[in-house]
Amino acid sequence: MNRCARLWEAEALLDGRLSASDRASFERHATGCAACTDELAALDALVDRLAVVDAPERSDLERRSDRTALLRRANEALTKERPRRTVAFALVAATVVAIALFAWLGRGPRGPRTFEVVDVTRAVFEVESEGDVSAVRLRDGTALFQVGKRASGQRFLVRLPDGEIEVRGTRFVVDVRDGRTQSVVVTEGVVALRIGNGESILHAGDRWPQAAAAATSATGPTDDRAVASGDVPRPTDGRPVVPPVRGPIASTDGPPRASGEPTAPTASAAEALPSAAPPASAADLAPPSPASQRFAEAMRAFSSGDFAKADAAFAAFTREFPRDGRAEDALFLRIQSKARLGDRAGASVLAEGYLRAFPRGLRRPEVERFVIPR
Amino acid sequence: MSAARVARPEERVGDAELLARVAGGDVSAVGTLYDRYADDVRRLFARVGVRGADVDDLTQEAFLDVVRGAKGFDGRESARPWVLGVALNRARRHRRSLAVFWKHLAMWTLEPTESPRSPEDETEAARAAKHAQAALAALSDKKRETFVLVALEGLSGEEAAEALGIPVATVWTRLHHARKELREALEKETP
Repeated sequence: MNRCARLWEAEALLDGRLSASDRASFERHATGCAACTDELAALDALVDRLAVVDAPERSDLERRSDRTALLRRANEALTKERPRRTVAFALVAATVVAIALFAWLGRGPRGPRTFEVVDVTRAVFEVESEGDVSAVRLRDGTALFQVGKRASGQRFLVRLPDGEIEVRGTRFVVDVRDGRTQSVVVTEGVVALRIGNGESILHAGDRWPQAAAAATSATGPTDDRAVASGDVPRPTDGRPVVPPVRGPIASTDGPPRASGEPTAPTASAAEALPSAAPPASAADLAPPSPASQRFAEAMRAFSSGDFAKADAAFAAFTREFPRDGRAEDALFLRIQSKARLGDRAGASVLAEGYLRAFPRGLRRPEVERFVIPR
Repeated sequence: MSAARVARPEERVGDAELLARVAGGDVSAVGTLYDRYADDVRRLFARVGVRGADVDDLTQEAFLDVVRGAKGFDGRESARPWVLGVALNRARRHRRSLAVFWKHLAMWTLEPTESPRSPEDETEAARAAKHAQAALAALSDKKRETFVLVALEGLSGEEAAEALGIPVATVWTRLHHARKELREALEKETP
């Protein structure tokens, strides 16, 4: 087919990029040009072919249910907003002072601030600095840490009730509850996590559960990649090195930052994701704990579509390990299993239980949809 | 003679007025906005690649984002481009948060895995929809979003540029490349 030199104007016409006179000119041209006429038809047909992609249909009942749920949540959001406004000025003033103080505390000894701590869920922490060591003591709650590259000799530590984390240029989330570290999730960089007598090197994408850290192995080689890159100090005290359990990680979803946005933290600031199956290479890694094994079995049932088995397995997991950090995930996945089985009433009951047990749970927005209004 | 449909009073209120009411704490205005644009938002999510089971959840979240951002609406006559822009941001956050999850865990879905139906069982319409969805999914996120907003949702270049946070010229460039790739993809599928 002969390609017309004005073929490009067909797209421009559809996009509205032609002036009135150019448009008229091209339209006159197209009436006598097969190539341009075909091009216009092809562009229209392209849209027609792709416009068939649409969302799943909803029944009227589903639509009304979704609308009702939205209005309930919107009302909560708007109600919370009103009293905040009445004390906004005082809060802003206090927050500005706090941020300025925090920013000053956060500065490294040789220059601008190099780390940020973000309150994800009721984090209780203090900043402690000693010479070339910047440290944050996390006493409770969940916090996101973003640490800039440290200069030579500078160290950054997160002090936990039961251990510490040392990093050089990374981003990670730590959850501490009841005086114990529940999880550490790394999204960028490398961290060395020391809990009890064990040390784990966590890379981006790794998650440390509490159970895996308790199962320390004999002293083994450190992670050479991390050490070679200079990102993680080589342990010198003979502590055993425990490789992490690799698995899905939580991501943050725009949580408020202490450095610039004085807004209250939201429950949906981060998403909890279930732990992965046991480590792939048993020869290299510590054996998974009983809790991890049971959780992984339940996950396999869910992944394979056996939702009845998954529901029973997650229920058993929660009974046996009620204080495990994955209890919230397990309950959420039970809700999903019930829903997949068509048991909406059962899902609703569990959803109500979740909302009571985890009033600021990370899956709250999804779980609320399963509650059937009475 | 069929009964004329009587418009409820709130349906005659313009978008700018509705969003002003939302900003003032009027929950019923949220419902009217939802009635007006929920289908558009759901369709947008489906077209930019949000999985079927997540569409409704994300639609809720998007409208809550609209509630929270109502004060920032600039008062133009139609809020549709703005609402779609808010929804698109929600889709992007959803996609980013899931990206690492999918990488590490074999996909567990919130809907049944595709049933092993034979090709003969599929209707022509279902096949066409599947091919269209696959062609869109094969685009990069940026090209897909641009194509969906302009070519399928009918936003102007300027509206799409604002929703996407990019210059208008970039909209046209992405749109051009998206069309090219889509045409090639669909030509391969056509017997």
